[in-house]
Amino acid sequence: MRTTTKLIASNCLITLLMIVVFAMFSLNRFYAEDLHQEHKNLEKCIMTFWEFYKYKGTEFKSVGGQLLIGDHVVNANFEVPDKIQKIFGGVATVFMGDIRVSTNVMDDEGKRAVGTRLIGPAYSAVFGEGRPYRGEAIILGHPYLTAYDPIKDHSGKVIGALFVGVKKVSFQEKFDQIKTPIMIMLAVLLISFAIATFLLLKLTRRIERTEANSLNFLKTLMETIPSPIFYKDAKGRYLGFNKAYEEYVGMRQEQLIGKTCFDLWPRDLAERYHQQDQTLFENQGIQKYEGSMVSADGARHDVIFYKAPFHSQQGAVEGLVGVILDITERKAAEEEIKNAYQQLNDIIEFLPDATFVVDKDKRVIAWNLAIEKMTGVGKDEVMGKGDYAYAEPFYGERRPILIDLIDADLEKINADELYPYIKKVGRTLFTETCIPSVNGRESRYIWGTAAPLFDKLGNRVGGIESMRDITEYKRVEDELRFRNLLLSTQLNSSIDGILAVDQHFKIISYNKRFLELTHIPPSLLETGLHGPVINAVAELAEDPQGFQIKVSSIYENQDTSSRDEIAFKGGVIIDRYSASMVDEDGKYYGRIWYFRDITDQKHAEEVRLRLEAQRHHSRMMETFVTQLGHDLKTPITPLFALIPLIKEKIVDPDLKRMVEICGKSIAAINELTEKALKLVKLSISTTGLLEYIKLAGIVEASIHSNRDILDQKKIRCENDIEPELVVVAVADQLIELFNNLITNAVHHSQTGEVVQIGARQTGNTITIAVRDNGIGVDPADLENIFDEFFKVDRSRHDLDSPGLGLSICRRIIANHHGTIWAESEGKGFGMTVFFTLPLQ
Amino acid sequence: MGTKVMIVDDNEFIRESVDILFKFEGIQAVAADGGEECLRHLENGFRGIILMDVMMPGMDGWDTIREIVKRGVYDGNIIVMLTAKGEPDCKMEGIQEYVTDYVTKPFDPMKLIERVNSLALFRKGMKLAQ
Repeated sequence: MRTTTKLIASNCLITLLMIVVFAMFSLNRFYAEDLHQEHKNLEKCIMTFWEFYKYKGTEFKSVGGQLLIGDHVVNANFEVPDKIQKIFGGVATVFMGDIRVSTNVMDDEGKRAVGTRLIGPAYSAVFGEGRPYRGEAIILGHPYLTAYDPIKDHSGKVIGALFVGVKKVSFQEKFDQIKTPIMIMLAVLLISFAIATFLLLKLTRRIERTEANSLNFLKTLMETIPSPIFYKDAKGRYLGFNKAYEEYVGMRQEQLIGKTCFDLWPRDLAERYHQQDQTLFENQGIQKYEGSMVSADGARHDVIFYKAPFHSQQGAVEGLVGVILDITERKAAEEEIKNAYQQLNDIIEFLPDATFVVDKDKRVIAWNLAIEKMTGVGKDEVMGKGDYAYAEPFYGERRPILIDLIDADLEKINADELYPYIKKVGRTLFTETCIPSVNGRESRYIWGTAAPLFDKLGNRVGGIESMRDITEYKRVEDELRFRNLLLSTQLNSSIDGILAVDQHFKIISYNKRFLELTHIPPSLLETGLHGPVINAVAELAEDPQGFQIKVSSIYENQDTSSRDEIAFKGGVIIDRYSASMVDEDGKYYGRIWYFRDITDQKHAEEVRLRLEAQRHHSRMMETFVTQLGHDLKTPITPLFALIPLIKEKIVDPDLKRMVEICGKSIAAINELTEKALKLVKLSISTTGLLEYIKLAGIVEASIHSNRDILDQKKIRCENDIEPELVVVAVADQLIELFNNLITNAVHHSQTGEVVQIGARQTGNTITIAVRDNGIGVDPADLENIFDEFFKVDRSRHDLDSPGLGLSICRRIIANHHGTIWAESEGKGFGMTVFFTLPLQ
Repeated sequence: MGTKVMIVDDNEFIRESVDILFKFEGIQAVAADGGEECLRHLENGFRGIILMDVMMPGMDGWDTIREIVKRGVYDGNIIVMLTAKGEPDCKMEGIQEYVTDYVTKPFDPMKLIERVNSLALFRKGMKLAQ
């Protein structure tokens, strides 16, 4: 029960009690006053009783069963008691001992009640203790106020008693007369009070119940609120908390209540709280501020305080209520969102593709590094701008671009011809377009994509567009296309048969030449099956099993290249080369097989090797011959030098002749040596520097160098060659040729004859003729005259002619890929030597 | 005449016969058995006509000319190469300008004397010109 209710109830009760007490007190006062009056009367009555007897004597004495005063016998003498009765209206009795001896008290039969005895407390008081007794007593069925006084003899011994009694009837009647209305009044009053109290209590209880309910509600509410709540009085002492608060600070109500913030919290916090509280008390209203709290874990948390003062009914500030909102998590979340936003911004900023973002009003809210780089337009120039500002860097004007077409109807977009190619996947648009100029760079191919942006609730918040400059990519693509073309052309124009196999043993490529070489049907190759194709190739080999083994071993070593020659059936030799396809990182993609028919090459190679061996041999020979020539000439040289000197010094003709013979012999040896070496050299070294040579000039030079022998025999040499005629020949060799032919002609001519040199052109060939009118040759010997050491006249050993001149000529003409022959009508008819030279 | 001749040849007989030939003609001659001796003579002050054999063991005629030029003892000399016909002349590349004449072995002694005499005149003319 609430205090108010108690208060009301107790008030009522007290009032009621006071009324009753007052009434009773008043009544008692009445009663007591009355009783006092009665007692006074009683005392007067017994005094009078005594007085009456004092008139009779001075002393009571008990003599012979008779009570005497003076000489007045009391027994059965009713004079005095009756007098008392007459005066006071009551009864009076005289006891001798405890026996009534004179009385006007009547018994039930109407006779004086003499001889009855005194009993009860009055007897004990009077006869036991010897003192007077006052009290109420029922006498003959009526209540009496009684007074007993002991009668003592001269020795003080109680010998009897005097008694008076006043009937109470008169007093009670008086009392009852007042009492009844008072009681009625009291009763009415009591009932009214009772009703009032009852109603009041009921009302109070109802109010209390309502209050209790609302308090309960408030309490529950407070407990239910997850935020810590506290309240303090105006002096800053904590009054209460909700559970959330207790949990938050990790303390129980009992530990907190009645404390101030200075008792509980760190100094700095407490001062802040206190200061804020004071401000709140001064300013009223609701206060909200961010601060810190120490929570149960001892750590400080970021919180928001909501505080409001509460007032008494009189309007005085009673205290304040505070609600705490822990915003640590919110702050963390805010921080997280901020970070996430920053991260998103960073991601966009550093996206490799040129990217910008617009809000729902199409104002630019992000313009990343890549797009700054692509357009040369900085963030500061476009951020926050709307009205198609983002199109300007690309088109030089504000116009709709891809991002503006997100909601447009695709059919219409195509009709618009804003973009020649555009595609929509879901809500995302893709395009590829050529922009005439971006940031001063001409004809940029741009790939672009645009998509709308939505918030968590699905509201459209803007759009994003990303672009990539694929000009370079396009160029590379073109180049790649070209390279592919180049490769496929190479593949198909290759003289090698090519077969490419991927890492899964699937045939991925082959060329025309491969088909030609192997005669494998294209249908088999198109199946891509490696086994059957390799089997078919193996079947072509002389040793199919060996081929298969080789192929397997090559596949086992992925990264090896391998080359060998395989003999195919029918004498075909194949150069087989295989290389694995491995990229820079060593990843294996397969293997390419090359098959080249090298049959012809092989033969050519054999020929070449043979020639090479011959050439080597020739070089050795040449070196040998050169050394031989030098070494032969070296001993001849002193002979040459000294013999003429000796000849000069000798006087004796025989000796002179002998030395002369020596000299001629030496000259012959020299000649022979020279010619022999020349011939050998011409035979082993077929090459020389080919030149365009005027034939007539060569002939003229040769005639000039043989002037001595021509003059000696007075032989005229006629040069009939057309001066401008040009042949292709090695000049040295050509001079040597004519020297030999002229020498030969002179040798076989008689003094004074003529040697004729002429040339005739037939097609691309020049035929040259050297004619003499000399001794001629037997036609049977014509074939032999070019042989070494052939002598027309076998009978004569001609020291002057070593018989090598025409051999040298034949060698020289052979070197020039011409032919040489001789014609003669027979002995004595002269001879003509013919030879051909290529014109060009 | 004051022109001196040096015969450079590895063959002793050739050196000697040439020496005899020149003495016979009253021409002062010195002999060298190879490039090194030739260079020694030149470094000792020889200036005149040098008859240089081509094929010599070790330092051949061409190598010797290169060395002469290199050592700066060429000036004041005339070089005549003594060659056998058909000897390779590939080694002469780049130094032809230092060679004034060629004489084929075996040589006619009178023709050689004639040749040397005319070269001596030519050399005198050159010296006068300088």
